[in-house]
Amino acid sequence: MSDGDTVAQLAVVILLLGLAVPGLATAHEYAGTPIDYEQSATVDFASATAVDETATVERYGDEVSVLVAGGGELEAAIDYRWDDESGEIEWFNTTATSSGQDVTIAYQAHQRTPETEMAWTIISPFFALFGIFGLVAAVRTLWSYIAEVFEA
Amino acid sequence: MTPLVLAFAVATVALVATLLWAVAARQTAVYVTSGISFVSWSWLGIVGSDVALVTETQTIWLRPSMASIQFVAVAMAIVSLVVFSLRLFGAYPSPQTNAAESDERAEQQTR
Repeated sequence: MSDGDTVAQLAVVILLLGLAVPGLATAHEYAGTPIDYEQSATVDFASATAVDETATVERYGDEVSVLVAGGGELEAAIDYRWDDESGEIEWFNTTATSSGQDVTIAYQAHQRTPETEMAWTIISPFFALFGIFGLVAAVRTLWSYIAEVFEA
Repeated sequence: MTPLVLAFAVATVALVATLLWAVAARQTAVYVTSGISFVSWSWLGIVGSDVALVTETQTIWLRPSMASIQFVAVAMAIVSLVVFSLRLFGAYPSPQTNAAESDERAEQQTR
């Protein structure tokens, strides 16, 4: 393939633009390793309780366990409802729960590690360069076509 | 396919692509190989931690090892992108190497 194959060059640059950016962005979005947490909370029927960990969370674990101070465990879907999207627990008024009751919530958050955040912080600004690459390749392709027309 | 096997597969692709642009550098092929090596090194840099923890064995040495590999992968991704940029501006392989390769290929075609 000769150096003047500007169409091939443009195709490669566009492919890199088209596949790398969304592909790597998706990889970063779904990067997350399961880390276990525990936190103290108070049962409140009026408002949901949000878990403390919200930074670099890709998603939360499907289940949590809620331990009552003094022993015992609340039952999921009966005493509370866990929203693994928002990381919030909605409390239900049952025989096992009471407003102001001290509990311990054990949950799992899939979080990006500091190494992953570091990699993303360094790599993602380079995506802006791809626009310049595309522009340079497009101009060269156009220039090559114009030169061919005038040579003919 | 376990996460560790996937990581090894991507690492193999990254190494082969890097070897191709570094050793068997030939004009437009440098675009493809440096582009592939950039994407694969970047992927390893971004998801390396996941691979270390999601693996079934939960081997203890795996996490710090993968953290080190993530730093290397990010560095290699940057080098790959630099090579891609140099190729775009005709600086790698050098214009002389490009011309020599073109002449060589033209000669082969005329034989």
